[in-house]
Amino acid sequence: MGPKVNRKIVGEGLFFIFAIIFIVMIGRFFYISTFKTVKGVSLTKMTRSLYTQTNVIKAQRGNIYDASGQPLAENTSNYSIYVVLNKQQHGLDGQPLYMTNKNKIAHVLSNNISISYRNALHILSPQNKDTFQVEFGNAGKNLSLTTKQKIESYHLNGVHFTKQDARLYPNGVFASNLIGLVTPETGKNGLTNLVGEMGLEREFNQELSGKNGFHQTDKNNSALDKTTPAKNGDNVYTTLDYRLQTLLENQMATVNNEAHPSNMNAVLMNAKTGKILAASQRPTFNAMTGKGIGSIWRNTIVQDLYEPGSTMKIFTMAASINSGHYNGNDIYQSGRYSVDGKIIPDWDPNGWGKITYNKGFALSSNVAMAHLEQQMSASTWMSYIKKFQFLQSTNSGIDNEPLGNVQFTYPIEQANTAFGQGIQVTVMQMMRALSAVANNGKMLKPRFVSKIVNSNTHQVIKNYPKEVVGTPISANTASEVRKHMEDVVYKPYGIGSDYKMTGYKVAAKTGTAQTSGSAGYESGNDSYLYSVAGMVPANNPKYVMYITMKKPVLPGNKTATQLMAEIFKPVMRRALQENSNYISNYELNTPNVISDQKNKAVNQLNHLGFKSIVIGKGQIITKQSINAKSKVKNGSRIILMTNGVSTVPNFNGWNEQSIKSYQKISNTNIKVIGHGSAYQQSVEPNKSILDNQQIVIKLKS
Amino acid sequence: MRTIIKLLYDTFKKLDLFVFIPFFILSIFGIVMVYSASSDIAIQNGGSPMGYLVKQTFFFILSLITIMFIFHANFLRSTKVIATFGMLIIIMLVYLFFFGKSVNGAAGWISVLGLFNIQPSEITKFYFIIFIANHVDHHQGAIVHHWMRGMMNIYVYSALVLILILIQPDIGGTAINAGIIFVMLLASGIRWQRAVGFAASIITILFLVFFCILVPVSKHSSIYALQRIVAFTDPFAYSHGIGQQLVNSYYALSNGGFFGVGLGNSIQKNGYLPEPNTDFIMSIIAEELGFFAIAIVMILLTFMVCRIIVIGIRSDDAYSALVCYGTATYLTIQMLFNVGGVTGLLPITGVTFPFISYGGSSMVTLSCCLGLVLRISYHQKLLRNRLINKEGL
Repeated sequence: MGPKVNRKIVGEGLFFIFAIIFIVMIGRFFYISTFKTVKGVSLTKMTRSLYTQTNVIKAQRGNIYDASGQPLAENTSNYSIYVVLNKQQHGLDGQPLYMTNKNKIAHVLSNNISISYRNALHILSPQNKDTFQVEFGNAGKNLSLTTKQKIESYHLNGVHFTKQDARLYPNGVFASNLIGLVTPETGKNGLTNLVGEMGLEREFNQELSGKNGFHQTDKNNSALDKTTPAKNGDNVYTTLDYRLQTLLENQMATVNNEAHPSNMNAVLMNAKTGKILAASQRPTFNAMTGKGIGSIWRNTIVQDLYEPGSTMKIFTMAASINSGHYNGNDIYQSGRYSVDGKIIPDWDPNGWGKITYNKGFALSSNVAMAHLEQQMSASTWMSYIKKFQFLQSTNSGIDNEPLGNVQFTYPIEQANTAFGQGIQVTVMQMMRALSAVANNGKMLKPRFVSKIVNSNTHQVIKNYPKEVVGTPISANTASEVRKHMEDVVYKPYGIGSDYKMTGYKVAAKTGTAQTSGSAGYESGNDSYLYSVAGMVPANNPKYVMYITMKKPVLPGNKTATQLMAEIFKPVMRRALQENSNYISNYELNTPNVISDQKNKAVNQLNHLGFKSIVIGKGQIITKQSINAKSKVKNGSRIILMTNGVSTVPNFNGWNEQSIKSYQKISNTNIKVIGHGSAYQQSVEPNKSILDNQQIVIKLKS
Repeated sequence: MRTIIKLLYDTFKKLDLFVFIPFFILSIFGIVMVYSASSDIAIQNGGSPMGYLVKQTFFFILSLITIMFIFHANFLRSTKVIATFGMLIIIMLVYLFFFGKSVNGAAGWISVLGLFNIQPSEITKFYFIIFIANHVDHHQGAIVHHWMRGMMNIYVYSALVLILILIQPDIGGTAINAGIIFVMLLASGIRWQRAVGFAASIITILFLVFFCILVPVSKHSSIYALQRIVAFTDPFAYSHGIGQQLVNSYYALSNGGFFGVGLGNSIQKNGYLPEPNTDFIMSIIAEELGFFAIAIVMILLTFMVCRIIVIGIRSDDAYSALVCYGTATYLTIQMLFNVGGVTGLLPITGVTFPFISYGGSSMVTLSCCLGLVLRISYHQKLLRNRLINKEGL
């Protein structure tokens, strides 16, 4: 065969091979264009995520307020510091973003965060030379904006901050176990959210959290952009009263330091509505600093069971009267009483001879109660235990609420329950039962939360109104029981004389119960649970207060009753005084004055009963510190911003809340020192405010 | 003026329209697509898409002139001219080695008086075609008996040039040149059984080397060329790194579907796909006009290639046949490397698509080849007509 033939054959071969190559290539194009899948990867899915960018719009967690709108838990940001050591890091203009002066950084840090110069220097000199950046442990975390700004003012190369959402509990120790805590949790999307870990923060986590929004941008077609706005969390309004709670916490702290009880609870409740105005426990923790958080995680008011002791006698008495078995002037032998061979002793086993039941109650006689229980019969007594809803949940909303339990098989056990032994209850159950006595037979549900409000629209989403949960006793019985409780305080033989308050009639019942451990009832001076339940004014109670104090180490000069009175009386007194203020504090409906003339707005507001404060030298109102349509107390301070140059107001006499709202509306850097009302300010009134100037205001109460 | 028009008209009448019309359509379509694909890259580089449109139009006109010139030129069969051309190429490549200008990472360009850049590895494709065709034509007898000794000149010269191209580095260019040389050697007139044997063994060796050595080695290598193989074997794992080009090419194809998103509406050309107007122009076409347009382009090119091979088969002299086979191989390998790269069947080698991708060197080189093919086809026709006339007489 000649070369020409060979060539032709090769040519024909090329023809077919090349044609096949082309067909294969066309087929490959066809495959991808049609099936849009390569190696099992869906290209459509990939491109969709490539072209659309989804940004999460974070929802702001709702705040928790007291009854008057004072914040108890609010959102804030804090900062963590880190120092970059990697020398490759430069800014756009070439300036170094890494550490250039180690000693100066260590010096500045030791002055501004809780770390020593040597420690800082040690951290800044890691052994591994390739370390990219270093942090400073807890000392470098949770820094305030002020600290951050202060460190930044040194213009140190390499010092950087990261910002985190944080929760501020501005009042420190303030119903901490009830309000609760949040912890940051990082979700699947890599975002960190604050999640309620205990207390109301946990129970209302869903409402407080809100819902994150999304902003989806399509890089190639803005018509496909989608925005789902974030729904900020709702605000929870508690029934707590800021002033009463603060006072209660102070008194609790004082007594706690004197007696070191293993546990102490105190609750103040509005007798007419069931609103808990103040509630505190020891041990507790400081929610602002986290101090003491390890010692107690429980809400002992809701979650702890205990034997109430003598305060239970209120209900034995009520049951006896209401069931028609009570004859107060009948006489019985006090001291000791044998039930089925078992001795029921009075707290003074010698007794007081033959006395009336009326006197027996005032003397807190166990024997009297055993008789009353036997007179009305165990089943009647049990029916009253049930009517007062002991052994039943109070539906407080706080989880892990125990129901309680009772030993009620044998006559001795049945008799024991009549003076509060052998039955376990919670403080909340006691509050509920006490409300029946205080509120003329109508038993109320004690509640911590009054309403949930949409943080954007200020609309009330859910109300928690007054709720009558039963009528275990008649109004007359209630009144009669309170009379006997007055005897406890005012009769010369009564054992509650420590609770006398000038100006008010007090109905109270004290209690001393032996605490039971695993080996039966404990003995010894310090193995008691002391308690007191009081209602003021006795004839028509406005407030019910109940205090328990477990295993105090009593100081020599004071009895447990006296210690509890140190809590009871000041708090009760302030509540009663506030209550009289409330009567004159009718609510004001805030008008809208934005874009009104200054003088017209001030006149209108003053006429309505506001205290208006004008900031700035302009003539037109641009902002008002209380939103229109908000309902506020008569005499509330409303701050009006005008369009002119901002000037510093005279803060004299302002409370923290007013200063805070001023800070918010004027965007001024304010530092508040102390509590109470303002008496000193670092910048004189009517001076104009310079940029970034800090005003320091001192408060005293 | 009238003479020029008459010359054009006379030339046009002589052209093999089965070759010329696909070329013409593809080139015009190329101008449109270069314009569309450059919309964003031009903004990024500070130019305007219109600039690319004007330049590509200029290249097209230049290629028409080239075709006409080559069509009428008869000096390309002169051994002396070819030898001089060969020397010139060596000089260019050596110059490039020392003073090469870097464009898109590869130093394969020579700037001529600062006016335009030429790419020697493009010109060598044309040169190898005429060089081997001419050599075989002159030494046919020797080659048939001693294929090794008879073509020693070709081996030595080719090896030298290929090494110079490879060290630029231009792997795609080296492979295409080598492919052209190899196919032309197969068609040099050696026994066809031997040719089949060579082809089969080379393809087998390439496969084995690629899949048994390069692919495993590439996984642990930081050499750029080997990383391209990683990008080819597992693009999605490296979709933000080395696999980015291929993945984004897939996206373009996927976006386009069957009929495309519409001319000018490509998303991928806006910064996702690098080199949208050169290496990845087929991806942009697939995205904007869909598989439908791709099929037309591919069929036109297939038609052209097949026609050129047919011209080669019909040729009686070694020179004509080899020029046709060389040109067909050139077009096919160029297409294979480009389309194989953008569809993930081959590693991306940075090869342009014939007639459509933006670029002057490629356009002019292709035109040189086409000019020759058209000339061969015309002479074939003349010869055939003469034979028919003879028979008729």
